[in-house]
Amino acid sequence: MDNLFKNPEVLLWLVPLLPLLGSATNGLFGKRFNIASSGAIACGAVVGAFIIALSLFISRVSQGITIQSIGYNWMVVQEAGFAVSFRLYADQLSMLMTLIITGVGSLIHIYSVGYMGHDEGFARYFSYLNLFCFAMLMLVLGDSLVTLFLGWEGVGLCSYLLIGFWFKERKNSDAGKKAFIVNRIGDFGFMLGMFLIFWHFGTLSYMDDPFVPGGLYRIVAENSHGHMDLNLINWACVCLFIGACGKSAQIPLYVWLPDAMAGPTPVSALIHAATMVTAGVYMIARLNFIWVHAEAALQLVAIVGAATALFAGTIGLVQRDIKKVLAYSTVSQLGFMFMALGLGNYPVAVFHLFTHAFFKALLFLGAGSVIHSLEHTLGHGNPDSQDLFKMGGLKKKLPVTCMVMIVGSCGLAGIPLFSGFFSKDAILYTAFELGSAMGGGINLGYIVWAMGVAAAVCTAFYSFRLIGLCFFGKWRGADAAYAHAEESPRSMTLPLAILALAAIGAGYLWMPAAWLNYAPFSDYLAPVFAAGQEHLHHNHSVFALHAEHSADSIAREWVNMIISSVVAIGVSFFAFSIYSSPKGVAREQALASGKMGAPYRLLLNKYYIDELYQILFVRPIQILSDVAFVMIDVIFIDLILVNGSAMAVATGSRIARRVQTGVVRHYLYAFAAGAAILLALFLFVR
Amino acid sequence: MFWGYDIFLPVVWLLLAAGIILLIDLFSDEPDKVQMPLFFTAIGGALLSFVSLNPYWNAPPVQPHFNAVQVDQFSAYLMAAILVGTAISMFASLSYVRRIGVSLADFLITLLLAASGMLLLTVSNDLIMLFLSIELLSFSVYVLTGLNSRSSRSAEGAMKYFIMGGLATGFMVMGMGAIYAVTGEVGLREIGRRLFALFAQPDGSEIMAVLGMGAVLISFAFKVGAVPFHSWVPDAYEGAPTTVTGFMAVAVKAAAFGALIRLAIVAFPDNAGVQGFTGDFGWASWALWALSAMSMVLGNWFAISQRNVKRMLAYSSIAHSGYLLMGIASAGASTEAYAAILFYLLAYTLMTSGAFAMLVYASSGGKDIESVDDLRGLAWKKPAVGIGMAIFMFSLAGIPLTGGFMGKYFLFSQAIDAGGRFMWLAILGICTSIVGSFYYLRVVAVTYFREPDDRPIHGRDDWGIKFALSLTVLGTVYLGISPTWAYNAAREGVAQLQQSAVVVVEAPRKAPPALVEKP
Repeated sequence: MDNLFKNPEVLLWLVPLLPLLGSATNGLFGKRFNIASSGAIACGAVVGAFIIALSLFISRVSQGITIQSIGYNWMVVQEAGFAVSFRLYADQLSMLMTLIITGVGSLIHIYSVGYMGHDEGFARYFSYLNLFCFAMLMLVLGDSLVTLFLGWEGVGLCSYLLIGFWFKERKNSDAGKKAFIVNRIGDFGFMLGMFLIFWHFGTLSYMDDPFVPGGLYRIVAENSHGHMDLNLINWACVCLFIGACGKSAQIPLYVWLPDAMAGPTPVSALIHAATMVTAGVYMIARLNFIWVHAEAALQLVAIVGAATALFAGTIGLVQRDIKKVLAYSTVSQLGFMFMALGLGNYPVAVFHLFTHAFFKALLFLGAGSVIHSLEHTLGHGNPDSQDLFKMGGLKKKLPVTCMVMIVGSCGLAGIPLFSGFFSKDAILYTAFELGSAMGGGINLGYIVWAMGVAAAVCTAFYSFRLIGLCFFGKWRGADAAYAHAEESPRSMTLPLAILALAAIGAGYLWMPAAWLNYAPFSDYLAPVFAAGQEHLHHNHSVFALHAEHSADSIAREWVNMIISSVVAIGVSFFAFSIYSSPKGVAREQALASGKMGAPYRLLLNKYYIDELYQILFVRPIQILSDVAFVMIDVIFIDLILVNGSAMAVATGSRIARRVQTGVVRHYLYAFAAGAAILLALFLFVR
Repeated sequence: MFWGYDIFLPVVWLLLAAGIILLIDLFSDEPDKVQMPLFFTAIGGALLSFVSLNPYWNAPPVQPHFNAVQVDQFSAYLMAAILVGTAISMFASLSYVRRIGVSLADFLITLLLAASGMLLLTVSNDLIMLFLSIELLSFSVYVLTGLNSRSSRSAEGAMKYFIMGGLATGFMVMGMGAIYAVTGEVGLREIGRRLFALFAQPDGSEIMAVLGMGAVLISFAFKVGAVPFHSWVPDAYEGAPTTVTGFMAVAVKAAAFGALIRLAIVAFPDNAGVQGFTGDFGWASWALWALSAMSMVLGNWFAISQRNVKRMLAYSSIAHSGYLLMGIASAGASTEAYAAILFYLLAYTLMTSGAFAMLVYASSGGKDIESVDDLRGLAWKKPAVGIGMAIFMFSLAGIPLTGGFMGKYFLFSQAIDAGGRFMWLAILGICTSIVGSFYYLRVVAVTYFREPDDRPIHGRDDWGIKFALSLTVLGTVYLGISPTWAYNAAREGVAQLQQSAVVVVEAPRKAPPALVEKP
């Protein structure tokens, strides 16, 4: 037993299973627990998973040793060569994700003890939250697309349950349903992509498959020189990207994420900022060795990502709800990640995912702290507690929250020396570099770069608009709320402080080459992307990453860095100076009613996309379903099937009564007749 | 060891246990005090019998004593399934038989005798052994059916079963006589060899042979309750004590299908014969097609209108015989249909004996469960009833993650592989299973979604039934999640049996076949 648990192949399983255990405990016996024991179980499960993951990271993965856990093949179909292989695979990428999920997850669980302490459904809440961690860990740790998909659906389910956690209000459960339905559209694409990949390669496992030794990694590597149907791979990747659009809220399927803010704020921090919504990014980074063969699909990803970054960023400029601002900011930042993926720079996308997880979780939890302190007086679910126009001057009341929110906003806006600066700058530089490598005037790289810079302007603006409106200036809401607002308990501020430190420090793991040749993050991740990069270098592709830096590229990096720093600092300062003054709100409202009214309303109503979808998709489907209801339900099922089957049953029982008379003589007749017919069949019909 | 008689050990342990129980019962003055010793003797006998199957796994077949029996992995698999069914029936009966006023000793002795008949049936390798073991099994089961002397329905069911069984036995003897008349042999392998030569070069007596084989097949169709030889099933199942019904449903079926497969592989050649002597019911494939189709359709259809749970399960068992017969029918044209049947029998043993044990468990504390309505709301009063019943019903209906689903999957996919009319049979099977899921799920719906009645739950449940239920629930789920091991064992068993049969090499049509015997 002792040795069993020292075996990393076994130990790895504990990482997802501990949260599952915690979820089951809270789910089954939660009614008997109080908040302390319920919270202790949930936090213990995730912290335990984090400690195990950390020990495995230190002892194995950080030294370049990957772990393939013991596993089990289910549904083995010998003829088709198909098996669902339940194995875990911890390499540099999945281990990094595991650490983010369990690490940030631990902090958010601890925060939740304070945040949800007064809610009567805390056991249900913790059960869902732990279940989410389990599903997310299966998603990243699974050794096949099937386990990834199971986790993918699992996190979707938990997201649905948690968005609609306060399901007694119709708005909340509607938001849950919207998230679920929009994700189903994406999942359909994802499944098509999976089928195409299985069809072409005969396996869905990355590393280990009972029928295809070495899994996708080996089979793609062996066929990488012209034995693949590139057309089909492009289509498969496009299908997978549709799935990623749903889960990671990209155009055109981003519409669910802003509504998802109906859930408890820690949920927004964990699921809708730090982890679940990055599943699409993880999936593409995970399958980078396939994606490098799909250049057309990659360019689509880059354009969609850049468009989403800019589009969501502009909507974020005018939102009044503190969580909506952060939600659109998340959509926008995810767009940055997809931009990096589409440009072929996978490690930078993962790097932005990594820094974003900290500063965005920090911002959400800080917003939660603000809402929590106001809800105390305004009452739970009061929209005023989230309205930025009814806040102001909270710096004095919530000093810790204010501090950490400023740190988070600096990270988000990309102020130099904060983590977001390093990662966002690296993405923009990738686009810039690609633009110069492609040559020929305006090209994909430059277009994406320009959109990215514009999105960065928006980011800096709304980040400091939020800070100015919330913490500075004068209080604009109900006086009682301000009077009773007080700093959140220690269980909430402690995670905030830790996240703030991480939000500053995370960026220093990958310094710009122009400054310092220090990049442990990219060195650590390099083996994950080695196979794909080798192929790109072999083909002299412009998308290949170059490790060495020429004087020219250093110069370009400086140019890019100076542009983005000036933009970030300048726009941040501009926004802050407007909104920290008491007149900020009045000026915005004057602008809205003045000659800028039309574009302002366009942004405020989110480009009327929800209304457009309503007209284009929802109404036609409703009409179609009304027709289908009459055709299928009323006529086919009620009239034919229900009445028909009732008639069949009645006939059946009548015949049964007639046949099963209970008189042995009749039984014997039946026997003899049957035997005679059968003997005739034996003799004459073969 | 034991001059080769040790291959009878599995049976000997059962008979020994029966004898000891008889003696204890005879010499004890207070029957109440010896309940536990009696029970443990029976369980011990079954357990020792199970353990003594051990030498036959992964071992070559053994055929001593004029080849009257052949013990191989195929029969070991079936014997294991039968012993599991027997043991579950015993555990479930621990206090049940006393509650209905039957002596435990009588029950156990008859049950052990029936089980020993079944074990012998799976190893029988000549016609005489086959007949004797079938009769041992049948008479024991007649007695078991009528064991509840207080119930007139029990007596009625037993009487009908006995009369109909007499007719079926007549058919079997007649068929065996015809086969003997044509071939002059009683050993199955010799019969197979003679029949093969006969069908390769017909001389007119092959009509007699077909009639003989057909009569034997009809008597087996009676034993498994296939339509139109099913009429005894509802009456006997309803009348018999509930745990006996479970035993009859699973163990009789396992033994009969085992013997049928052995006959098909070893003794009955297919009519063309040139593809090689793998053995199937090619000459009867349309007849089997019809039997299977009628059993599936009528079994499922009639089950819908039943309000009595036991009668419903009786018709369901007819439908399941239909699914199994689909395997027999399509075996000639597919490769693994027999293995699929063995796996199905194992899964069927667990889920059906579990379902009947659940009826016993649900009816503790007074009145027996008779109508489906008696189960209403019981899931809230006794949560284990809800969950367990749901698992068994899901499995019987063939819903994934249960053994029943995997069994159906293997059977139907083999029939689809066989193609042609067997594919249509599989499609019919799938359609009728959908119809069947209606009455299975109705039971689940009633246990959960109907208002419970005010009948109090009293009476303690003994550990035996709890053990039986745990075993069957876990087994059903295990087979659904991880069927590989059980399926591979079945496949190896069938492959071994096929190898031990006569193999024809390069036999041209209408020419005398060259016979090669494989060890």
